[in-house]
Amino acid sequence: MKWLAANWQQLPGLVGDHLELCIPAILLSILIAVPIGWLAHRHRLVGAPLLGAASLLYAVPALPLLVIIPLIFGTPLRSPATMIVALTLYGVALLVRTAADAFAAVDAQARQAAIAVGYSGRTLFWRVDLPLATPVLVSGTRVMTVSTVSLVTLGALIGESGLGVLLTDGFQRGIAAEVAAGIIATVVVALVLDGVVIAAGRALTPWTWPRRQGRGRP
Amino acid sequence: MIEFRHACKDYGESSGASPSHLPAVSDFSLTVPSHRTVVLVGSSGSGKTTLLRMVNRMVDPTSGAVLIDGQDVAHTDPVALRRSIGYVMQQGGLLPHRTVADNVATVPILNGAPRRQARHDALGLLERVGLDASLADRYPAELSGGQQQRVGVARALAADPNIMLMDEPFGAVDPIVRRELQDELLRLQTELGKTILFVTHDIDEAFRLADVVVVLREHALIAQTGTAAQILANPADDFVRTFIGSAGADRALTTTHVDGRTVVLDGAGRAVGVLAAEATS
Repeated sequence: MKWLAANWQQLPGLVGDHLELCIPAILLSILIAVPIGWLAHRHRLVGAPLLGAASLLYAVPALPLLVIIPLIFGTPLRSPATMIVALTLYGVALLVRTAADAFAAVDAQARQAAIAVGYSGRTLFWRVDLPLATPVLVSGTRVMTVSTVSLVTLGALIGESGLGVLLTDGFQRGIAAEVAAGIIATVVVALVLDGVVIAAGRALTPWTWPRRQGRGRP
Repeated sequence: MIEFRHACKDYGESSGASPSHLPAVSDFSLTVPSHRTVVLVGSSGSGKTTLLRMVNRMVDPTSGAVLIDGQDVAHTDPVALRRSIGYVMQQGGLLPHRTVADNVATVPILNGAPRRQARHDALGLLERVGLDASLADRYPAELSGGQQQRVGVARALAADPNIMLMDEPFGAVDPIVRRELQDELLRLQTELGKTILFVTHDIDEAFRLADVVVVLREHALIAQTGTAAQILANPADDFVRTFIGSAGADRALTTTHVDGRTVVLDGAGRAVGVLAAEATS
């Protein structure tokens, strides 16, 4: 607790650094994984290998990945960009399968009815497939978000600032309170972002809210 | 007017087990006159839904053609065609994530109508099908099955189509509600005079709604075409006789006289009604 009293002012800055790495990665993961998931669902032949490759990607250990990314993407070895690319790759790997499942879970009868009344192509995707896939996409995004927040701590190993710094520094100097503070702060950030995803999901899917008969739309 | 000319649909290898391989729809020809209700009735596997879907190109015939007012639908844009035809399916086929008003306004909005106008029209349509406008902001899951079905009919009417396709629309509701919906459809039809092609497996529904009943056997082979009275009076063969139930007890009615009135009995001797002329005397 003595450590916390002396160093608490560091926390807001570290949390800020942490968010700067994980929020872009989370958003990019959604933007990339959802179209791939849709493609995998619509075209099984392309889909199966695509989903397999994504799962393999998740099995690549983090440290080698952080070394390979600069070679492939041309980002500097120690940079937020490298970290964000790595987090995005893991996020996509985690989310694509759920995204494919989300589109598969769209009620076939509702979809058929939509086609029968004249939805097609882009309108069918934006106004029918995507909204109806959203509840499952949201649950996948929650898992991916929490995973990304905890993965950001690895950034400390390549010198990227974030809550991971408390873990590496605390371990090296043997300050248990610092390590504990790092863990607790990471968990709190994860819970808060999870809450944000839940709230966004609710806002996007008003038809899933339970509400009493007779009450008007808010 | 809808015309089927030797329409066939073969889904391919599906029935490898059966020795005499016949396609889902095998050489089907029929004319649905304008402003009339034609009901295709058959059990599952009779290809009736496939026939219905050929009209709005949800299914394209393997050979033969479907014509609307003389024009082969194969030469029309399927999306524009579907927007010009009302379609009602089982459980209404409503979009669960759109409000009732948005569901009804679907086709006008797809066709580029202003949102406000389309919504306003939707409220009028809800009343037309016997629903209170206060339901407009509900989601489909908040309605009863019968209400959903009415919304489905309202949506089909929204673009004021000449043709309505109805695919077992009242199959998933209880008998009392089904009866109400059938009466509502009959009332709408006398007001609007659409060309309706209706599919059901319920022969009583067919007899209630149809100007012309088409009884189908497997592979969409026509067993008999005619009015309800013609088919009841003169079933073409044993298949039709069994299908309409006249082989059983329920349609072989007899009369008996009780207290000076003529009471109608079914085949098992249960009283089912009195003759109307005497009932009112």
